[in-house]
Amino acid sequence: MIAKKLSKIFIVLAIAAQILVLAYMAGKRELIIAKGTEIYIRSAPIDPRDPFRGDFVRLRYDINAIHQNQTKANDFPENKIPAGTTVYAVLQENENSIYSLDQLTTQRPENGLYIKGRASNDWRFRQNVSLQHTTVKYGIEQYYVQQGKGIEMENRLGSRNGLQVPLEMRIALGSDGTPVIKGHRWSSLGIQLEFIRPATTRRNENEALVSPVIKISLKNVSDQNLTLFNPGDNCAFGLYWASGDASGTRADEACKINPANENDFIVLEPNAEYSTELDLSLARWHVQQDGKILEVGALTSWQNFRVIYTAPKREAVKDYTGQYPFWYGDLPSSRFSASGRID
Amino acid sequence: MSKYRQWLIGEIELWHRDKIIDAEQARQIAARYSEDTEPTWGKIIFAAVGAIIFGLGIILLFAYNWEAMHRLTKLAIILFAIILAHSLGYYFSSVNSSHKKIGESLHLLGTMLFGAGIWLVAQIYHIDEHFPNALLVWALGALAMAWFLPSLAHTLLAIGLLCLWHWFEVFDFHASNQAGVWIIILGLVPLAWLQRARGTLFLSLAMLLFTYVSSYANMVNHDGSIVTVLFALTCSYIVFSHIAAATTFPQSTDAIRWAGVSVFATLLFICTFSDIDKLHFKAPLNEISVLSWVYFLIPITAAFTLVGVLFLRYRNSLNNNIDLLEVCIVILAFLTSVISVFKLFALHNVSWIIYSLLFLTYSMLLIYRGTQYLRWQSTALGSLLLSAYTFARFMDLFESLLMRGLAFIVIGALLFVVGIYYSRQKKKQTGLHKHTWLQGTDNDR
Repeated sequence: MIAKKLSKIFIVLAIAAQILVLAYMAGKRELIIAKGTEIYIRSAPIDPRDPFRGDFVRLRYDINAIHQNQTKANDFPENKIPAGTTVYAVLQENENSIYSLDQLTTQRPENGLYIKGRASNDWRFRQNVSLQHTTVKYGIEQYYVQQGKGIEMENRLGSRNGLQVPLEMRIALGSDGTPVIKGHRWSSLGIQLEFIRPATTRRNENEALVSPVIKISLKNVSDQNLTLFNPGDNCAFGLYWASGDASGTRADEACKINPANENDFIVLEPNAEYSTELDLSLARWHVQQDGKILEVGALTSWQNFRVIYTAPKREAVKDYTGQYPFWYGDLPSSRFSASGRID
Repeated sequence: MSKYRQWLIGEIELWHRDKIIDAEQARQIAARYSEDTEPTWGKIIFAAVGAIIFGLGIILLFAYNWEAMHRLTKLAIILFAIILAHSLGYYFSSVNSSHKKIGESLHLLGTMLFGAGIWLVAQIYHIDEHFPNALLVWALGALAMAWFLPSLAHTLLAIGLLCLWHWFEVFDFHASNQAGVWIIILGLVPLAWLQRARGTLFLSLAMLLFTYVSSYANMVNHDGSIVTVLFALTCSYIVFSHIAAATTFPQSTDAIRWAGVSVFATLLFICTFSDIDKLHFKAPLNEISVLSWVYFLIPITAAFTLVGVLFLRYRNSLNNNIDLLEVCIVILAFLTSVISVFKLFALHNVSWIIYSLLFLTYSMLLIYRGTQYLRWQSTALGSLLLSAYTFARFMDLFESLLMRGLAFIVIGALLFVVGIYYSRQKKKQTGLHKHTWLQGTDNDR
């Protein structure tokens, strides 16, 4: 009799546990949505599909790929950490509530905004994660949308050869760093990279070196005028490594910017484009590799780059008297190789 | 009541009416052939498939992910559906209910909806965390229900989910996932034993082999000591299958034995190849982690303990010399693997010869046992192993076509003789039974 009663109690407890697990999962996130700090993080979406959960957009944030110089010293002995280690990405505010990585640490920060994540596995390192290839997952890399909407978002994002508009994810952050996606908005500026002339493959040292010439276009996809700033010799643009150990770091020598003049400011009306050609054979775009200064055309075809448009800091343009707002932040292009391949 | 029992009860009534047996004897016969305690697989499978498909339907329905429906409404629907399914299940499972199977199916539906709920919450809040955790939580929910109801369908669901969870952890995330091993040892195997379900016990033991070896393989970076661990585990199974005959669940013997023998025979066959000569620890012994040592020693200790228990306490469980010889072959293979795993004994270079001899003896033993006791499975497995060995050795043992031809003729003739002998034995035994029965009826007359 007692055994039967106990058995009934345990059945009810097992059922209650199922309900409580779901309630806890949902309740924790509802609390973060209601009370958490709201931030935006830029992301590049890719559109896959889940057979059981419909359409979702896979998101890739800059804070997913961490370079060694963005990690807090002494936190990562022997330059590697076990896969699955809890890490904290300390964030810094840029413009328009957009946040980016300040540094990565294994110690929970005492103040400031941070996202809790886990060092993710890399097949090359099996159970350890090398710092030169650290990838971190925060649990916000999938964005579920109604069936059919994934394609719409993909179309708006644009193809690798066309105009690409970044997605800005609205995230609520819990006090322990747990992030919850609340929604999204689109950046008001898109970027497109095209090849005017790719580099040619040299059969021997005597053949002339040909570096690529690319065209970068920035398009105002919002419904209001925007101001851009491109001083000097395309100094708003930088060439960044997009493969290898140095991935994410600057490849070219940064421009020396002279005091701004009127021609450096560009006002873009809605749907208007601003285009500029970058001749990567110019000394301004030469890159440093293994202690040597090289033209991009001299590098192997598997080495990849991105061009990033970097808007001025608010401080730098505080004296500007124009009436239209600036677009702030960094806008990366598609990844490309000198031989003309765009990913 | 099953149709067989209905037939039996009808027959007993007839015998009683014709005064062949009295009322007390009729009652005793009816009690002796009481309702079969083995699960009614047909009902379980249909009920389980129904609940699983219904649950998947709910998942797909939510996969559409209506923007118009507020997230809290979606949550409320799934929580209400779980509560409703379990409440109805609870009602139909009550002691006085005549629809207990419907009750179990409704509970299964509730647990399927619980799984759907986990994915739905992940969808609503765009959660992209370590996804095998969802399978683990779902499996634990099913396992808890399997224990407390008790329910075979929930046990099977838990086995499937745990298998998937462990697979993703080990092969996708390269984790050693020791938790999987302990959940199966503490949660699944005892449950299958208590449910007296042979099929589930077989699956649980197969799962234990898979989880233990795959976890250990990731721990030691896939070195040769995995073979020793596998030999230790299969040796434990085969030895324990004899001990199980003397327990309160003697029907478990075959399930345990087949889980052990199938893997043992395959492993022994693989070890007969001379190319596989690195069946030892890759790293120096002092560089092997304590955890790896612990997981290496657990199955070895279990095997030694069970061998000790069998020979000291349950010696009578070995029915004949064939059983004894089989256990000896298994123990010898296990000991060979234990010695050759340490490079300093230098046995790993020649261990394939020992394994080959053991393999041939084991094949012959299985054939002999099968023909002697008319166990076709044993004969088939022994013949299969012997044929596999001949084909495998076709290239590397015999240079001359003449020798190859002779080897095939000898093995082929041997198998032919085995077939004839098996048929004769069967005929002889059938004739013997018939004769005894006729004698009995003649005497009665």
